[in-house]
Amino acid sequence: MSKFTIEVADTAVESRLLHFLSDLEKNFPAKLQWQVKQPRKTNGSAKPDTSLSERFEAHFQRWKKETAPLSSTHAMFSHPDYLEIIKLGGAAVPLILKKMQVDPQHLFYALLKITGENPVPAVHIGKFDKMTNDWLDWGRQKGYLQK
Amino acid sequence: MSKQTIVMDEFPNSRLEPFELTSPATGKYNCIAWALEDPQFFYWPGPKEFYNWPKDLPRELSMEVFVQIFAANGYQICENASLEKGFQKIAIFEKNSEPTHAARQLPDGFWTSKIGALEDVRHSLAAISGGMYGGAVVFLKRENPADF
Repeated sequence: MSKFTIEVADTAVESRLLHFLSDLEKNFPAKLQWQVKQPRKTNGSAKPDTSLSERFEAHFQRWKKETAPLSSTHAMFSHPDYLEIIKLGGAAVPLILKKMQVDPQHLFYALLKITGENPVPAVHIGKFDKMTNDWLDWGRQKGYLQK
Repeated sequence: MSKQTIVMDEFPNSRLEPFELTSPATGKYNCIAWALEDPQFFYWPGPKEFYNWPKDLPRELSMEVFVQIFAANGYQICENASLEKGFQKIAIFEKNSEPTHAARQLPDGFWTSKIGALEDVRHSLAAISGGMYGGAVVFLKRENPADF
């Protein structure tokens, strides 16, 4: 088994590399062991790490801009930035819910993939406002949002 | 909303062809809902947990299935996009062998589309051809009682 570490200059490069390696892993499972990390900051010369909320915001805005003219949920949910939002995992759930409060978009599927939960009843399927409210109610019940 | 002529980079022909906004932007419904005149839903054969799609149709991104959803609403495949008195037409777009968009013909021969999560637009068929949606490859029509 090959094991290697790649140091990258910034979060954007890190994100793209993670995406590439994830695809590679699907084709060559268990043959590669990899780690991508940004270098330790020294003497202020390296760029500061961006916070989770900044990474989420960058992915969200790029995804929104690039998929806005599309009707296809297939295209929306396979967009690299949408996949990156999912990869942020549970820590991103409060950020997603707060974004849904001010700028509702099709983030339902990301929440489903991250949490494994779905608060949308069958009678609300396809009804954007109702699905948004179902998820926001779920967020309040779980303590992610203020009641 | 007053009509506003714009250009969208995703549709290069919108620089040359009629393309005007007719609604505010919203992600609540999409092009299929707008073509079916049922904008209370977002229609797509995507995740069954969230997106409306007829139960008796496969959730499959294929032209055959997209034709079926319009056929279930009284449309039949026809030869072209030309205006025919007494009929309402639908154009289904395809890119990379997958359906991407549907537009509905207006009584004056122009077309109306919902652009993803953006606005409704009134346009010529050429205005949105050759861009992000690819081209219109299937046309359907049904009798339009409003014309009688």
